[in-house]
Amino acid sequence: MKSPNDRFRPNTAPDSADAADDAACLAAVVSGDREAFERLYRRYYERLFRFSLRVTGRIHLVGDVINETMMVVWRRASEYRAAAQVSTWIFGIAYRKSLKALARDGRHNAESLDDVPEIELQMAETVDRDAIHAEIRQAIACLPPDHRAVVDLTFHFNRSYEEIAQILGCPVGTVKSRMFHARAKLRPLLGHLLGD
Amino acid sequence: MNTLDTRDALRQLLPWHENGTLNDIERERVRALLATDLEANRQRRELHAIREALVDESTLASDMGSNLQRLRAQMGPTNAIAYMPMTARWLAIAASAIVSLGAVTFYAGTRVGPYQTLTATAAPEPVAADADLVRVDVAAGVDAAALMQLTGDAQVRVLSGPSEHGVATLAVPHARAQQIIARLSADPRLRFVAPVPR
Repeated sequence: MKSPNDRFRPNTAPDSADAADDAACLAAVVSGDREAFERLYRRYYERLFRFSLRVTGRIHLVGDVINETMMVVWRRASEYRAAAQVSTWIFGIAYRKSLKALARDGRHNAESLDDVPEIELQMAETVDRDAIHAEIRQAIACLPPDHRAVVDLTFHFNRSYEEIAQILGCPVGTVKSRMFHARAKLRPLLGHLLGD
Repeated sequence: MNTLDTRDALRQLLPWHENGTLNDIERERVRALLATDLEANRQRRELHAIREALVDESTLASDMGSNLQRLRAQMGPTNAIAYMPMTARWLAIAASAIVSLGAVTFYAGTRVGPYQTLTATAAPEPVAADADLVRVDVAAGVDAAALMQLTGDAQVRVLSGPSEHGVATLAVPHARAQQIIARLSADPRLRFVAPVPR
């Protein structure tokens, strides 16, 4: 039985049919099948767009991150091990490519990610739902990239903490710790918005 | 682990209770916590708001066509070996090396075959024990049949040649070797005639 909040569930967690088709596509990619590769590309483009935008926070990096990710898929499909889902493997690549893109871009960008600002509370009096959501998303955007990744993989991509650990290449405890710190940073804003 | 530690550990699972990915045991324990713990319920409302905000976000992925076009250009032509998966790449390189080696060996064999010198016997053909070997250097236009006629002896055999440089090796009966050599030496179409030690 799943969470009672399924009405909010985005259709992003791979079901078993998708996972099987992903695996079949990847097997074809190993033998150099470009058509299968482009099918994977189209299937993952939107998800990778969303995820890399969330991690980097910079729209101008997203196209390169997606293509660098998929180039790794093309070149190293034979290195995929079925211990994890194909999507977990691809998201793991995308995460590392996103961090690298940020590091490269950081040298040319005055906005340093090492200096994550405290979340500014927008003390809006409005109770408009869209406005509240926008404020929450703005607050999430101020978190460090690795915290943003955990939050997005959990709440948008519906990944378990074990899968997130595989994607980020870190222990489960680190995933929980990042989520804990992300929530702690968001708490003042959420407390205000939710009237706690 | 005391009760507070347990509660904190369970509260840490709330985000994944919210997204429905906990296993059965974890889910039941979190439910039990939510039934009694006000703080867990407050946190759950926060997490619910985060989730709603993220799901509500409409991100429009753009430029897929042009990005894919760009990636195709980076990937190069279909058969570009550089972009083949690693195992296939090594197999292709090995197959290519084997074919190349075979081709070189074959080509070398065809080149070495007709090569001759004045100091080495080129023809490994068995020669009768009572025959002498004679090396000759003939003028252009003298072929093996003409050379046979010049010897005037039906038992002479042309073992090799004449080559493109006019070199030929003959097997002549030992008893008539000197006569044959003298006849050939007298002919202006032969520039050089000499016995070859066996």
